[in-house]
Amino acid sequence: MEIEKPHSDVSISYSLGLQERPASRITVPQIESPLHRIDARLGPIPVRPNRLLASLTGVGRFRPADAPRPTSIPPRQPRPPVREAPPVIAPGAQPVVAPTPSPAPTHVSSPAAVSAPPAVATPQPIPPAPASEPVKAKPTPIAAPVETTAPDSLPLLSLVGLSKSFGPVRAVDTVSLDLRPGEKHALLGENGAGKSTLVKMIYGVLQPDAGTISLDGRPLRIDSPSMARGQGIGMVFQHFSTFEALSVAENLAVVLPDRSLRDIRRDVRRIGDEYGLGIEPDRRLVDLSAGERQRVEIIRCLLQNPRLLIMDEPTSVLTPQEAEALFAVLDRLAGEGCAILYISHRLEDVRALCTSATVMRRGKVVATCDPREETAASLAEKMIGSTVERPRKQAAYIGKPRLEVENLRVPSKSGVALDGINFTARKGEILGIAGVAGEGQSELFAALSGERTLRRRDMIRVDERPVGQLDITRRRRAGMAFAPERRIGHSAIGDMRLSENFRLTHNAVRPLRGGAKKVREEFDVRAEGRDPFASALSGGNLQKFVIGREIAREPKVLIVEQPTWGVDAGAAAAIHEALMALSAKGAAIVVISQDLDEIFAICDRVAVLHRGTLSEPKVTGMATAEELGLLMGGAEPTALAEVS
Amino acid sequence: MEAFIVSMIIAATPLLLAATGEVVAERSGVLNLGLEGMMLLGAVAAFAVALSTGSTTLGFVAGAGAGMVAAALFALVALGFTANQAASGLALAIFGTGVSGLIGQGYVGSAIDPLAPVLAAESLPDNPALRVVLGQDAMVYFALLLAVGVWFYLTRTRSGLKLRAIGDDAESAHAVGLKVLGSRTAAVLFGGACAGLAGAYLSLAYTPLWGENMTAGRGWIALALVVFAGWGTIRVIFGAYLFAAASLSQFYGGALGLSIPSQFLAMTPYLATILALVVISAAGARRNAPAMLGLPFRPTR
Repeated sequence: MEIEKPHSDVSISYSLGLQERPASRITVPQIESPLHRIDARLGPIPVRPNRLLASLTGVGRFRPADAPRPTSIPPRQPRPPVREAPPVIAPGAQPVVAPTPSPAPTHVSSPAAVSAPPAVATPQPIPPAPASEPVKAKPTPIAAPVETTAPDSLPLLSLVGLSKSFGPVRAVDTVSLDLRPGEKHALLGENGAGKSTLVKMIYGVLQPDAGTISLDGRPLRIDSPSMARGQGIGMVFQHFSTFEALSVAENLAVVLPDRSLRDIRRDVRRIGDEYGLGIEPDRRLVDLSAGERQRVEIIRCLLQNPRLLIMDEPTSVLTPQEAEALFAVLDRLAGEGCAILYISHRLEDVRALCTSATVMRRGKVVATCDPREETAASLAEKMIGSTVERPRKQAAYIGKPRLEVENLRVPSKSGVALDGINFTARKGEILGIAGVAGEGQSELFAALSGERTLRRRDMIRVDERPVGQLDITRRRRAGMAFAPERRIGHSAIGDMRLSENFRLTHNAVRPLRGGAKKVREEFDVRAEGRDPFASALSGGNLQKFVIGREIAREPKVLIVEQPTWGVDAGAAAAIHEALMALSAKGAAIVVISQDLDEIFAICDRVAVLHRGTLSEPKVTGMATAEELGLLMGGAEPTALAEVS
Repeated sequence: MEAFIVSMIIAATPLLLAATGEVVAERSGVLNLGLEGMMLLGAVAAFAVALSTGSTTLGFVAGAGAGMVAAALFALVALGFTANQAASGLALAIFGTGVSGLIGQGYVGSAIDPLAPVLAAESLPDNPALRVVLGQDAMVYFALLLAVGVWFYLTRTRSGLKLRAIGDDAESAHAVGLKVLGSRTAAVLFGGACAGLAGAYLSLAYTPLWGENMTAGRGWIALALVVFAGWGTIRVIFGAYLFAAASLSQFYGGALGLSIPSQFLAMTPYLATILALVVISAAGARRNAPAMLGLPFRPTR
């Protein structure tokens, strides 16, 4: 099967205006036949309505909304505290809304609202917070999706009026929430909306200032994570709480005080087989990929027979395939009666997985909804409180090569060796470099930025000038600019003021007076004080400042790594816009990112980095997440053709 | 030769005691540079108590107690108030030197009976090797047992595993519910007790005298020994004996007729320390270092 057109077509298709990018906002992308995708690929404008879903439908993970759930789930070991598994309602059966006896007055989300059948267009609770725009509740024509949980089952977990302040900031403000056995509930919100604080209280890491947490209707004070675990609450953290120096089995032993290492090794193998989470128990964590480390965390939770599993941003480090495998595990757990609280700001993940959602903004619950009924755009609107224009790259004139990388080889010091990397970024182009973490991204960035100088100077050329042996400052003078992944400690120094941080990268060239102030105004960098310390800024604001600082130099070539990692949607949109505006002025931009959504949104072409080698760049409009995911997992292009 | 080995064993014991304690503290992620100060406080307390009570056992108890008090002070500052660990440790070293000198003023020149070997000389067998092995005082054996015990604790027990986990990643440890500050404080106190014992051994067995600043840099050598041993307790045992042998070369070098200036020979233990550290850093042995070593931890509550 012919997948791809030769790359020489790129500029032609641009000049023909064929680069009209499909909207990332999708209407009903649930089912898509493979045939459809083949057609799409042959046509000049590939239809890629929902990349993640589309990539996954091929593997049969997604059921149509009204399909019956798989019922052939082998029962897990007896778990004393769990009541009966939720009954599976046959497709087409009318879900009944039974008035649920609630043990305590609920605040915003009543139990009924959480699990109400969406066909009865639930009136959206209007946020008490200043909602700049009314949330449009739209009745949906989709057949009533079958609710997995019996509406009259008692909530497993019930939060009432939970609050937590850090100094003057109310991180979580009177939040109420109910969760039933088997429910897959999403907790949505921007960075700093209070999601993590909320779940840390459930997991006993933080103590609430006010409000109650009830399990099985009994109010409970959760003093510590070990107590939470004792109650059957498991949590997988965003920043993994694993120990690098220890082996897989030892990592598990740390939290399982009464099991021998030998038992744990055996259990790891058993769970690995049972759930497809295979992992060797004696490997040290340092040697594992991010996806494998997450498996360790999940196994750690499963070993404790959880009734509630909290997942904090689990897919941010996974390839689409790994994410898909994770969803399968979560689906299965939910089928066994385990409630899942899924925190994410990846709306597509939430729509694919969850059956209900609570949206938080500035510490408050502003909406509850059924994510399957919403579009990514409507969810984002609820999260942000206003409509977000997701920026899209405009068809640009792509000109002569600005940055040429030819046979770039860097031997390994301790990380990944770069093995013959070739690419060209042209005037006006944004080139995306995708790949999961630790495949050579930081090494590539170091080679491009001059943090590591090269053996041969013509491995990297900027406007035909070899720069491979120039140091960072000289490369900056040659017109390059860099924004590394780590904000504090690499892009900026936390203990320095913004004006000083501004000078750090501008002293190489003509220092701009009042540049920091200008960047703050232009990029809407919000911070207290006239000239605050970089460490006082939130992640999104600091990243806007860093990107703005580099753009202020009007570079010819900009290398950015993970420009919107851990940044809220508003700031991410601003950063994407700024990058696109820079490329429109004629700069060549290389975006090294693990976020495929980002790459599809702003890049003209994309190549995949795997174990220090780079795939042939593809036009993003003609690539699917599935293809890229396979490349990210190391599939050969030929194997790829067969799979497709 | 027998004399050399006996002196080596005796010289190694305080190093081994202090380094064993420091291994535990550092494995929990706390860098306590105050070993020298804790040893001196232990030495003076042990000497004072042994002199006034006539009991060396009570002396050792007092030494361990003094080391723990000093370590508690360090724990309060470095863990409780999350002050910089390196700075607090250096302050403790200087503080301990000064305070021990002050307390010990009246004891300079006094002498006590040294710690006796476990077995009296008459009851020892004639075989010189056995004489060396069996003819030592109780603390020599205690130090070895303690080191092996610590090795067992760190590598074979759940509690030791938790301690290593805390040293590897305190944030994660806190997130999964381990008591980071409690465990670290306990580890630091243990380290203090060991350092106090090491000091007590110097003033009760090694020289049976009190002299100002009598540790003569052994605390720093013990610190280097921990790095040299790659934070492994068994390697600490070998390292302690090796370093002790190096430190004796200044006495035996002259006796062997080597025409090397005695100042140079006096330098050897420190030189060996630096060389060992250079070689180890170059070999990348720091990979074994606890990842959180020296980093403060502030729990969010």
